[in-house]
Amino acid sequence: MKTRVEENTTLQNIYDIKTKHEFVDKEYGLTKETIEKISASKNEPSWVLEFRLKALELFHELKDPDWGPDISYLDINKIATYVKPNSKENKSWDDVPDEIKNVFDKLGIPESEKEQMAGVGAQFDSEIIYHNLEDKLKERGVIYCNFDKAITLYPELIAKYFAKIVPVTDHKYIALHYALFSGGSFIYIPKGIKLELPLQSYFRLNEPGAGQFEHTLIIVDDDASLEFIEGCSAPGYNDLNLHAGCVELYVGKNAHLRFSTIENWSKNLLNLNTKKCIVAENGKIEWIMGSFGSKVSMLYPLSVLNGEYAKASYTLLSFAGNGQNLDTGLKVIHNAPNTTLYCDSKSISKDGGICTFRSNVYVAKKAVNANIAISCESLMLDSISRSDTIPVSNINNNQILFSHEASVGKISPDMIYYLMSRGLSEKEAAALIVEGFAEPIAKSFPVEYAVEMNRLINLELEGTIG
Amino acid sequence: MELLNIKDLATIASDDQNKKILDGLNLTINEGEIHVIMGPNGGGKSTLANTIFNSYRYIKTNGSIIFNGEDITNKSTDEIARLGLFMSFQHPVELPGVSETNFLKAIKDKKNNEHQDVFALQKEIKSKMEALNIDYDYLKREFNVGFSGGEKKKNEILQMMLLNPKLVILDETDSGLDVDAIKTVVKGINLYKNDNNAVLIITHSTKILEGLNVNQVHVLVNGKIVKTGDANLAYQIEREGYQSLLNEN
Amino acid sequence: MKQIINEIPIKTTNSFKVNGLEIEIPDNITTHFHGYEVNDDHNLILETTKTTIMNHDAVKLNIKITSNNESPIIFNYYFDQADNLIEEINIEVLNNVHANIIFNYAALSKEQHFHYLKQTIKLDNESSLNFSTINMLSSNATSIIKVDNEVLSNANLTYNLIDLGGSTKVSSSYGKTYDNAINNLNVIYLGTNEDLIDTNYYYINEETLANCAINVQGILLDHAKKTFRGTIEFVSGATSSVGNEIENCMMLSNDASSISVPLLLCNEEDVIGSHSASNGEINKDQLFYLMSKGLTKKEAINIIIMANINPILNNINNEKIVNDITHSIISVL
Repeated sequence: MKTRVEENTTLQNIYDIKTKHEFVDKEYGLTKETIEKISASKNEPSWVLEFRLKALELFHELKDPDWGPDISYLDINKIATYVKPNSKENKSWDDVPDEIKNVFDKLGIPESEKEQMAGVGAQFDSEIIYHNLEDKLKERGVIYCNFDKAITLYPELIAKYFAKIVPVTDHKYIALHYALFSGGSFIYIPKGIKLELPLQSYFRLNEPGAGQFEHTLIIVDDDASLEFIEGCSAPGYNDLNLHAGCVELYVGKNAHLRFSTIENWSKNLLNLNTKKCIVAENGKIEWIMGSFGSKVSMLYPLSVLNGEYAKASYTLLSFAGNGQNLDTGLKVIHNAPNTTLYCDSKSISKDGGICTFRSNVYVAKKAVNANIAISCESLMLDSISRSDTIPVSNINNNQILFSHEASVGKISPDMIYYLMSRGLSEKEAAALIVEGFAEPIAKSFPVEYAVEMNRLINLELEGTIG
Repeated sequence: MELLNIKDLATIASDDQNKKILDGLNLTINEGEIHVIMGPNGGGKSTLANTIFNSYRYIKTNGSIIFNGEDITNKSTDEIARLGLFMSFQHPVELPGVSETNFLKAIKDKKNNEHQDVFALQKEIKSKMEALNIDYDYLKREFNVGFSGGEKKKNEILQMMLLNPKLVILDETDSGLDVDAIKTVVKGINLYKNDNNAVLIITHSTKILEGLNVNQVHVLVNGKIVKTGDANLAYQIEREGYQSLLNEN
Repeated sequence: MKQIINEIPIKTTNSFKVNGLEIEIPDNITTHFHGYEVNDDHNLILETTKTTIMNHDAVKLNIKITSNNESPIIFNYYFDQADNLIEEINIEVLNNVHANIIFNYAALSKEQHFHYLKQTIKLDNESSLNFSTINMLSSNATSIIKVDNEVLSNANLTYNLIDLGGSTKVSSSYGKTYDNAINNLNVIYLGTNEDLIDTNYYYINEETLANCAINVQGILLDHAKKTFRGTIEFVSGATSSVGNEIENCMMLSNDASSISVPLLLCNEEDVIGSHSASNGEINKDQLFYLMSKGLTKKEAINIIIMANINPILNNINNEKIVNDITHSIISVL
């Protein structure tokens, strides 16, 4: 059971902590030299540098998408493409420099690790500053480490999966990602290992005008299972920040991966993130995404259901306020018989915020008995905001069940009236209803995330209703 | 002491302003009393309950409502509730994502104007649930989502017992309930009822009246109370219908 | 000449090429107009003039409906031999007038007829119109139907498009609904063989209490390929307005393909908007129920299909035309 927690500090204060942390290196712009410098500082194998430079060429060749939110004002030369914090990667939280530790402590990380997590990673700007995994999991062959390190430590797995799930040619900003990638997590769960507690990575973008390009690669081998949670935040600055991360996931036969994200980037950040998962026979990927922050988000996690009976489920919530354009959704390819897609998407728009749900579902001719159910609910809190639903489906056989439902509107006046007849003010009634609206997402997260989410909602609602 | 005094109340529907619903209605309820309103469909029974609570669906065109010495004619729904009025809805809403516990805590905290300890509240809720034969599992469920008609109505009575209002309006709480569920509702009313509060029951049947000490029965037709009597009036209506009663006049 | 038509109001990813349709309009089309057969003398003002559409000579009809008519005014046009027709029809229903109109296009021969129809419909205040366009051209024809409508305050438009004929069926409708007006679009399409069906319906609630609905019922057989685009938009200020969109694509063949893009665009809080789409085989529970009563599978399928399209056919107040439509659907199932 969850109850609301009352605290004096508001969340905005927490996210707005601006540290005067010293960085040791900071690179601007995007030239061959910048990339060579980043690569050298990481002591990477030479093939990685070659790969980065090829990606850079591709970035210059590819065009911005001609659909979706306007991002033409993004000038990559004004983005700090690499910021190295003044800290090594630490195994013990006590060794993390105080200024960085304070930021994470206030965000409740790795407080949660003590009881609820099997392992935690933390990234500050471009580099991972902390990584820890329970010893007993290490002994069973579980790998959870900084992605940069994985390149040299696990060359076979890297060769098999890295940039294979999300190819460098996917789109312009994935090319940019591959030119600049730094930090992120590598996870390997061996066959048959089922983790009872989640692993969590927390990404903090602290430097004004900086970009974060972390790469996450997770392999859940056959019959294994994992729950992974990522949290993202950044303090508010006036300079434009950029996040072009990449998540590559592989779910083996009968394996299960739950990938949860709570994203509260600052409202001056462009979130051009790419996530993709390949699912083998009878495997299951669950995407849980709460999007609160960023100025513009373009994020459509792709599931490729390659094996028979593979399943994908999406539980999505976007909350767009003043100046925000959150363009999110999903892509799914049904490539085998008896594959299943379930999606429950919700959005809330207020104060001129724009929420767009965009989906692309493809059912191949051979994917008979595919079962697809998509539901989108959009809540409008005023008449200056916007909510668009743009779903596309492409179905190439008739042995399927396909349903798509979407609705848009305001909070039901009957619900408000009912709650007011029990003594709640109009504002309190609305907050309770919106919290309920977001509950399917909230209940998927550990309790402190859920509490944090309800506080975000209440904070966002303040002054809107009544 | 007088608890509710409605004078010359007239209303129209807010989505069809040519439609008169209540048309000069008068009603007085004193502390300690149980009143019953009966009447044919479309006569204005539910409108009366919702007009007292200032629902957005109706607009008052005349009259006044005094509750416990205070003029509530133009007060907002939540202010009216916080003064000690409670309505058991004919069609309670469902609140997806809001757990029964969170809902009950929200309304109870609001009434007490303080945050009650969760465990003390749970204990209180559980004792009332026991009296109403409601399964504790309901506390974890989403408010009214997937509840049967009877479960929703019991949920209304549970809230009534928890908030302990001065005046309760039961808007067709008994309709659609089986015999056992009606007994449970009556049990709830009797547990709640004392000399300092009052109940107004809107109903079509006398089942809910058995076991209650009814003071007055009113017949509401075309937005007016056309006849008032004691409990026997209700049984006469059940036997003979409204038409013969109206022909008498 | 190649053209991009049926573009959706808000672009999306190019992966399925749904943002618009590229189509070749042949340069050598010449309109041969031999006049409509109209069933009756009604109180309408009808002018026929010449115009140019897409650099082609075309016919233009201006129709003003000035008084009520209960039984429909029926305009029949028969394509004979190598007939082509590029035409523009403008219809205005005057204040307080209630009208009922059917445009019925049929073919007398199997040639590759080309029909480009541009309709503009305007309903003045308090008027109503029940309008049907029926395409029963031959299976080789190309039919492009483009409808713009405006429904002014308190008016009520029901537009029925029965799109059966032609191997290429392209249709679009752009509707604007004003204060307290009702604007319903009902479509039945049928795809057989290698037919290409491409639609783009875009309805906007412009003002308070506007009410629009799009209801599309489609049947796909053989290798037919359909792209459905349907948009309902609420502009800011369209308070208490309602918009509903239903797309049901009955795929009777495993080789058919169905693309759906049902957009819902909202810039106003106080609205009720919804869309739902279902694609796939005939509902198996319904089929089982009917077969348990002794019907053959084919009979059961026919009943279920007719149950889905009958509510639309009921709007067409002419028994003969409805029978012709029903017959031409049932005959290919």
